[in-house]
Amino acid sequence: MTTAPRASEVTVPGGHGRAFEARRGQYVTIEDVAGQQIGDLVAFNADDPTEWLSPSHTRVALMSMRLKPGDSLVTSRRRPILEVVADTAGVHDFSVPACDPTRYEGFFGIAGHRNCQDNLAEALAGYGVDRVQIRDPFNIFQNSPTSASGTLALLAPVTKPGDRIVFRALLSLIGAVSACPQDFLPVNGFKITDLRIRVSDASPC
Amino acid sequence: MLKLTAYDPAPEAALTIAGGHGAAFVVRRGQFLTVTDVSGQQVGDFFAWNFHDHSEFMSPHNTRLLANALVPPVGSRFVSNHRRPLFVLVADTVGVHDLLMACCDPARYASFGVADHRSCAGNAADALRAVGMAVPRLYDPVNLFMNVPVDADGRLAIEAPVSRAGDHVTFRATLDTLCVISACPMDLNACNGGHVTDLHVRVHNEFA
Repeated sequence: MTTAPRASEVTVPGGHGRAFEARRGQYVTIEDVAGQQIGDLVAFNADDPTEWLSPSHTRVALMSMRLKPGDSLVTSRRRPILEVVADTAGVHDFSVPACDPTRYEGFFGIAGHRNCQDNLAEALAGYGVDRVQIRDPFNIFQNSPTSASGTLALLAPVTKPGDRIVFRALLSLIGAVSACPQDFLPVNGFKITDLRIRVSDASPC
Repeated sequence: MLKLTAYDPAPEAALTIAGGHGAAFVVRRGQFLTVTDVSGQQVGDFFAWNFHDHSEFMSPHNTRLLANALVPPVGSRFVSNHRRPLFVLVADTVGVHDLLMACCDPARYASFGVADHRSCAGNAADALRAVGMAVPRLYDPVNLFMNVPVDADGRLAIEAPVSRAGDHVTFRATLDTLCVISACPMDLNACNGGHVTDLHVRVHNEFA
């Protein structure tokens, strides 16, 4: 990670994916540029990509299905990797899998649709992270409340233009974000737009 | 190494998994798998792979979404990372299971200040090694009989299972599968009601 840039900014075009790197201690901001756009986030220990940011281990660590400032997201080895330091959105999901070709072909009858799994795999291809390693994501800005009976609703995000979540990297990491291309459900407000990832040494808050 | 036999009907099996330990076994397409909580309040961490392609494995994440339920009811398909059914749940005398939590591992026990405790991750590795099978990586389990209520604010709790002696679930396999079940050794919280006990596994060709 000595080659990691001191700071960086990348726009994730709507429906596509982009990778980023952050050193331990840096801040990672994910911004919903136009509002109502989900970002599927995955991350890996930069020194050992067999350790990944894990929703199931994070649920055990937080004993919650929701995120709030101060929460630490953990890896498959239960080590804190990202801490939520600020969040203007307040609604995220980490229980729904990334969309993939089967989702579009099997459920919507559409072959060849862009999807988060492929987006993340493409974005991470240069980092030696293969498709099998791309596991369940944190769906930043996704609004998927669970009812008392355990059913799930896939609703439009509550985010407005410029809403953002800010993390602090607690491990040096390789990450990727897919600006989810799902346009057959309300999850992106039926309009696929850009996200912005900013890695900074100073807190943006 | 486990191999599939060519004859039909597929071989049946019955085994008791000692509390705190695990076992690996095959369930052929079309066969039934019944897991019984022998004494009650015992969680079974259930992992499964496509026997012919271990890069395809049972995904609680995809299963919850397809069932649109945190706890999929009878009739639900338990699907893989490729959203392909591995099993259909055909009977369930409990209705309380967990598909949200990671399996216990040495790091989990370390968080309780305990070293060298048995764990479901270790049990799965041991069980696979015992039958000469290697899988690329362990994924999240379906935690049979585990009781993880979710409140209106999304908070989770680990409570004692509601299962009683003899309660069971039955799946029907829709692919040839390699399975691992660990009778969870967690004795530091309510997960297993404070007592780690046996599970019974039966692989059978008739639904009875």
